[in-house]
Amino acid sequence: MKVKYTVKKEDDFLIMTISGDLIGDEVGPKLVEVISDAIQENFKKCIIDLSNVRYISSSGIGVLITMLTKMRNVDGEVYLTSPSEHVKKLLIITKLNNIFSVFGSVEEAKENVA
Amino acid sequence: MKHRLTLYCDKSQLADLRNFLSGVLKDKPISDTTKFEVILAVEEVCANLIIHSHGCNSKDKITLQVQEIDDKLIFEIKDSGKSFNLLEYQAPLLGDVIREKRKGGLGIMLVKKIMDKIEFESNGKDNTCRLIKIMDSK
Repeated sequence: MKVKYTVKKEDDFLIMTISGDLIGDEVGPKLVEVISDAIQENFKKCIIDLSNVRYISSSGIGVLITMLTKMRNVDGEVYLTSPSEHVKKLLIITKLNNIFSVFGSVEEAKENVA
Repeated sequence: MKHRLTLYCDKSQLADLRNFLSGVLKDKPISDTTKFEVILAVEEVCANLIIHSHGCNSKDKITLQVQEIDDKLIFEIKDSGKSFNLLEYQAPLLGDVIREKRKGGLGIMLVKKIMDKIEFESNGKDNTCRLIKIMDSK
């Protein structure tokens, strides 16, 4: 399933919604560029909605880590929302669940972070 | 029943690999989450071979054979040339990955966690990596 993404800016949040299969090699550089551009615009809070991500490869996880690193380098943060069971399990196996803040929905993330 | 796939050492072949594995695993008695994990693990090993052992040289090829024996799914990946023994690979520290002091490495850690057994054989020319998943394991 081909990956698609949308980006919207709400208040001081950059909200990226990804759907399909997140394979780093295919869309990774583009997603990282979106984060770099957002940083240039002084966004420091990025919510990545994973509710429609069906499959994620290790390179896809690498992309999430790169986006997190970029944000943290400017004292920003990345919040993940609604990961599938598959994605959730991978986050636990890699212990990335301790590194990323994960919320049940975009709304929940906004309420807790604002 | 055995399923076989030949991949040329080009990253574009990984999409074919995922489709092949989805088809092979479709009717197996494992959860969708486990299917995704198994696909990830096999893709990771093949991607490593394609990128690191063969430098994306599309003249090289690797072969994958999938076989079900009793309650085990066995993924046998063969290639020729520089060997990559993932059993000897040390996973990076997560903190280093986050700070970008070290790129990659998480994939091999995932392969080791997802699969129940990993075997590696090489005669210096031909290499075989066997990934074994027990179908009722978590």
